[in-house]
Amino acid sequence: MVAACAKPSTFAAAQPLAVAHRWSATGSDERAVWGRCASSAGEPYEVAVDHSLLEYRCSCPSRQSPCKHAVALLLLWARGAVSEGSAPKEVAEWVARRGPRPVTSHDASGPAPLPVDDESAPSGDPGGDHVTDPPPRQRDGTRNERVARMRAGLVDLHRWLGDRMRTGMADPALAHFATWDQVAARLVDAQVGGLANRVRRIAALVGASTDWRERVLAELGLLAILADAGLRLPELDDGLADSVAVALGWQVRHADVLAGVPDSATWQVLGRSDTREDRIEVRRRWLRAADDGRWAMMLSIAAYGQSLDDSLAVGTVVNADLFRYPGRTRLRALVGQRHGATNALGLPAASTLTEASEQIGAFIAAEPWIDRVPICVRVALSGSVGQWYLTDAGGSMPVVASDTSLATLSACLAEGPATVTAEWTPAGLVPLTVHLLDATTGVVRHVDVGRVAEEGFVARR
Amino acid sequence: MSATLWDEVVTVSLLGTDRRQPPTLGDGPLAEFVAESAVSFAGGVGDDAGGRLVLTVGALTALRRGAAGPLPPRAPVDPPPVDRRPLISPAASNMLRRILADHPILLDEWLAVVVEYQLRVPPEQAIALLLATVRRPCAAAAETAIGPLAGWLRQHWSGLPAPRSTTEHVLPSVLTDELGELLQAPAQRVAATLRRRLDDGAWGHSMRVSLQHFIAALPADGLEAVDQQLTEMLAVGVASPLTAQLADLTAVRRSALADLERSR
Repeated sequence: MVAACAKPSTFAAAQPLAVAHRWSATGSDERAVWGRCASSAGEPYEVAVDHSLLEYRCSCPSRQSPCKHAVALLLLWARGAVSEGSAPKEVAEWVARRGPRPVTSHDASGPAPLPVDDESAPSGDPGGDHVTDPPPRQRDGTRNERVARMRAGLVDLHRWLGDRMRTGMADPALAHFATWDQVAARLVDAQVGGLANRVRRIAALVGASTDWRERVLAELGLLAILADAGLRLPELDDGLADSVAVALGWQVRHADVLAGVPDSATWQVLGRSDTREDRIEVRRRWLRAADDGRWAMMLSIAAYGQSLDDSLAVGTVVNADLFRYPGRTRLRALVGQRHGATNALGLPAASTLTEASEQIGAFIAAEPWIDRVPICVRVALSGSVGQWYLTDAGGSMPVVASDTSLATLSACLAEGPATVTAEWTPAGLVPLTVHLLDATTGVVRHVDVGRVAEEGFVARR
Repeated sequence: MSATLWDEVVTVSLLGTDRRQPPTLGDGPLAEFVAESAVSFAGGVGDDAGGRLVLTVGALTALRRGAAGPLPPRAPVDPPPVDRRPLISPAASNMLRRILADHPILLDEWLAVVVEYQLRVPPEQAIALLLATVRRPCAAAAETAIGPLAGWLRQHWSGLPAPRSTTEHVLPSVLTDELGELLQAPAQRVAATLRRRLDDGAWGHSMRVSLQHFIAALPADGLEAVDQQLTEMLAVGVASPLTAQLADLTAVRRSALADLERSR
């Protein structure tokens, strides 16, 4: 198996991935082994290996062939941790395109030892550790295959959306989770996992409120716009094309992001939000530049038993280089080098709700499907049990949060207005942090009122 | 974009384009966007009434969200009566968080001191404190330490259970006779006895609850000697997990009292 790797480091990198809890939907037959590998970027990678012809397929952005995910899957299979089953349609079609299976002496004896890939290992060194790239033709072929699959998936999605409009949203089938699950599964097969996640989030809206059909309808409309934009990628400007590609589920490598131009500033860590999305916990930390108020977002993702990044505590200030992901809003970023120590944050500058609405509008104009926008506002509490609002002299916005978050928020705002960092969502404002100034001592307390990931799901550091 | 158009679109979407014709979009940018998008789908997939309608829904949703301003301003809630007592210090606040999480046995004494010093608990800790003390004898002290905000929260937040009678849930004494007598002994003797008994295993895990109550009930001026002995046992490296728990409890109690003293 080492010999099959283009680099010895690939085999080493595959070892920690060759554990059952990182994989789902695994299976094998006499020709192939397949599965989904959890990725730090959120979308699982779809991996398949034709173990007869030693060909590999993976949705990760690596140019190595085999990549570490394919090698890890083979390791898992060789250890007997992959059960037999029927290949999914997509894998079966891929295998069929590879041609007939060669007859070998290992046919009747389970997993076969892996021979050297003739294309990637130079002659005269059949077991060597040469660093070789797969032939360009093969790489391009894989990419073209993926683009074709995505395109077919987007057309299929739009056809489904059109049918829903034709038969009407009152269709009882829309109240069944299986309806949505099947759509999401087809999108995963088409390697547009970003849209699959959106469909699962839409499924969570079903029946959740009296006006759920209208809410679901709005999200389906945005899904249609994304599908439309995905089909027009070559026509879009670079920033928008990047935004759309990321929303569809195309991964951007950390190395590529870190190779960009750093955005250096004094960053205020204003808020943290943990959300559960299907089988992962997602943590967003919202940073704001002290000089001009531009926002950035650090993303951390954990599957069951993994831990979330808890560096950059809310209420601190750090001088650092951030590297932003491509796209229109360019909110998501990675932290590069930090300069100096982390300090305590004072009272952050706040805007009015009217100003915040304009900021939200600008983000939506840039990416109409965006569903979280950070704001920092000076507001008072209004309303009562059942529906609370944050209000100022110019307007008000509804609050959506868990009971405990709401209770702590109301305790903090009971005595009067305060500065609050929140996430705008289509359903309302999700409060994250209340920045309380003690007028007597001048001390600012940054009260984190956001939801915290379930302790039984993620591991504490 | 009018609300009427959105309402019409919602109605047609609910009924389906098989039963109701979608609204006419006219010649504006919305109509152009929908027409342009519809032809991008291979095989004319989007070029039907349903495909056009869902794109219209998407465009209208983006417009509605992007252009939405805040709702009209609302009257803020009436605040609770002003409480002029100073807040406990940030260090004491951190210690309260620690007590609530790890050593709730210390709450009664801690709250009694807060009330005695006429300090108040910061609002962000009010809910956690009220929930932690709802069935305890110190529930009344917690309400006093929080101040008028406690009543305000009960009025505005239905999720907060009413405090139970303080006499019903008083814990029976869990101290053995030996520990009860030791409470009266001089501090050095208490510390030496504790160390010896933990060292020789006479006081093991089965005594954990009794020993925790013993540490919580020790006179405050005896804590330093006990803290010193337990810390020395940990430093030697052969201490049991029980010793580590008791050492932590002792240290937290000492720090909590010291932090409150500094908050005055």
